[in-house]
Amino acid sequence: MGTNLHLIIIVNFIFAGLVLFIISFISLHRIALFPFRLWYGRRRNYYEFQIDQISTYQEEYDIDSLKVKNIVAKLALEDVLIQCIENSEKKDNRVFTEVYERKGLVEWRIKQLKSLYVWRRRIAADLLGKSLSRKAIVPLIVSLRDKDVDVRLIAARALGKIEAGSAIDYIISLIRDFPEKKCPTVADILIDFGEDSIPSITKALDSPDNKTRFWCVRALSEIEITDKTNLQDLEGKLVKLLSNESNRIRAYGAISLSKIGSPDKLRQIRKLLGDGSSLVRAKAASALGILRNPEAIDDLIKSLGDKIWEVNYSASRALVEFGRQIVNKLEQGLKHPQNIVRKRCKELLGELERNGMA
Amino acid sequence: MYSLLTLLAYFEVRSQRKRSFIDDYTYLRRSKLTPGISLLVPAHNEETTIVEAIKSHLRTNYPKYEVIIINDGSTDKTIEVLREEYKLKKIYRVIQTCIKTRKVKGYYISETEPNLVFIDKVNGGKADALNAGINAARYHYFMSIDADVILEKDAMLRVMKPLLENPEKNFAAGGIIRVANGCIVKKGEIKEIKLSRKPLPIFQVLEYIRAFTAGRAGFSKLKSLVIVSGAFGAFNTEQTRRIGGYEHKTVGEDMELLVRLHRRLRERKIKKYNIFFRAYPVCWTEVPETLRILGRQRNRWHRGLCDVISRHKRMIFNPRYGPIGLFSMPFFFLFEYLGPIIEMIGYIYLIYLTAFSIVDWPFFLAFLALAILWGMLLSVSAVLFEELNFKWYRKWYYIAVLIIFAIFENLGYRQLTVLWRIYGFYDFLRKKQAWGAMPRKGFQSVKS
Repeated sequence: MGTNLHLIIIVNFIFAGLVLFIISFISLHRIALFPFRLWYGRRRNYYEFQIDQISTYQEEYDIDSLKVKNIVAKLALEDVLIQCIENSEKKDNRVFTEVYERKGLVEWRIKQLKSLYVWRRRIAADLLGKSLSRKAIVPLIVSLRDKDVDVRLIAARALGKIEAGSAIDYIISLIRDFPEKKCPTVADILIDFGEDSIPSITKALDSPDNKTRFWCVRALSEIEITDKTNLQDLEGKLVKLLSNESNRIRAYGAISLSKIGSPDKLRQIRKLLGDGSSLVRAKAASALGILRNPEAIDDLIKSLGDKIWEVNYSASRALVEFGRQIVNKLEQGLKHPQNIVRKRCKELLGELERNGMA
Repeated sequence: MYSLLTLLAYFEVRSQRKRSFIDDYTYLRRSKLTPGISLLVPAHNEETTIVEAIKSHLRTNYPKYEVIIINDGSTDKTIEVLREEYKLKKIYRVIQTCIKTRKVKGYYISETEPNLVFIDKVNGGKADALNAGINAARYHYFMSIDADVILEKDAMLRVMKPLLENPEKNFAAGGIIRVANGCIVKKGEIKEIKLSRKPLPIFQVLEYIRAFTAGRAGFSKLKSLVIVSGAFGAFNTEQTRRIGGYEHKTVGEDMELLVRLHRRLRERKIKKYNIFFRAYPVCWTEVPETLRILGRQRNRWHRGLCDVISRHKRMIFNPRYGPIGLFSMPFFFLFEYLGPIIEMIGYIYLIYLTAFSIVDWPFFLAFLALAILWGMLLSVSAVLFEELNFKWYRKWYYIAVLIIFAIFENLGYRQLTVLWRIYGFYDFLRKKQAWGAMPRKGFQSVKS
């Protein structure tokens, strides 16, 4: 009993010691960080005021008079500038980018793109993108070949933010080696480039790599296309993709084709309503809604009876696009032998009535 | 075990914090590729908090979503409050009734908020309400959220991120729940994080850090997470429909769903799947401030746990179910299910031994001190965890208060929770199913 008691008392002292140690650590942690936070906070407040003066008086303010003496000042100024760039309108943020460049922050971060520490390279690429400085384009394109996949991704994102059209081909080439979860970001970058990315996407559709083709066609399906002239090459490639072995490519190929193709592409897309994949059938239904060719109405009403919810839902959304044209057909659909078709026709008539179309 | 979990959780949360830098939520927020999500908000007698909660949900910066409020037979003014606030209008709607629920009286849309859908149904319990919401959900993912919680603006983006990265393998994700008592709320948004002035919510802050944050992050690191909180969790709609939705005959429906999901997947020999806990999407909830309501809540939680353990007892120590069967389920069985009973027997036995002079007073006091100091160490570690990873409580004063409460937590409060849990176990054996009334105070709003 004596030995056990001594053991318990020793353990008690250890636990009590640990509790005191943790409490002391928390207190010291706060105390140690306090001066740095205070210093950083004061520098930041100073730069906020100065940047506000710059944006108000612009050419009258002498940017060279803004002193950046040490690393804390650099970080504080950079933080303020990035915040200003992110919060301002596109037309107004040029002045902040100019300060960023003239105070040597761009060169500082470009040097860090070659750092041995991967986190430093990631942070540098991210901040260069946020700075919107076009001086960073070439170094960032070089970073697209970095051995770390996250540096490559962040560099691509940065180039997207800077709107570096010259980098689109390089960005598309990343898809082949990227893990699947990173590819949506690349697709988003292509979507942000808008119609400028169409020539590069058209080229990439010839790629032997299905992953590259899919993500290009996925991006294409979301791009708003206003100028549909000179897209015959792209149209031809998309028609070929409708018979690709990948259901994802067939599905989004249909959407993309409906966005750029002429209404006579209806026949190719209608065939996909009988595809074995529910994803393809659903997207084909959506594509017919985009094309708005009245010849597709009967096929879409038939698709309302598809067993897969996503397909019949897509068909109903597509039919709504036709507006008043479908009212008679929907009323006929109320007598359809399939219950789900009757229900959906009733729902659609109700919706058109609410929207003042029935 | 708790200290091991806390240590693992620390590394998991640090890693997630670092990764959140790479995961650019700006793109996700603006992206046209981001799939839609249906927010299911079951509501039963939530007149005081529902409007603020819905405002916070509608404020989210997630690009594509719908908010489905399911009124589960409320007897207070929940419907009237919502009708007045959002100008609800009845519609006819075709849904797929994959899961049987009690009768749905009607579907409504809002004339002012296009993303809002309201379902009015006969009372059937939270699980039944969620199932009605799942039937009506239009998107591939749904998120169950309690009616008395406030979401941070980008909470949905953060909790959905892992699901979007690999939709074929990632089936569910949960986020952190924090205590809103004492915080300033304005227009459905937490404006200032403060500690409550009452002792019970402060004790619960520590419990939530320890159990929800440290515990679940640790389980997530070990790929053996068995609970995604019903207050804030995202799931794949199709997978949930396939397994029949939430079980309505239990009060622990959130844990039961996840355990059943694990079980069905493992029984179908699907081993490569993930269920995540994310440390940074934050959801704020109002916790009980009185002993009576807190006792009811803990009683219900423990009944839910007992029910889940009982339903899925074949998974315990069963290698067929992988880390769930070999680690999570035994953990919950031994430390959570049996834990309060063993602890209470321990106290009683120690008192008995001392009273009958089988052990002497110094031994009794030393052993009691050991139990209390161990609890203190865990509680203070929770404060350290909060300080290193989150720093939500910026003022010195709040951290000092948390430390003091961490020390005193094990001098009465913890023993009280043990008593409630034992009573919950007794109610479970009596097959009690009721939730118990949980009256809300409402969030403290800023006065203009």
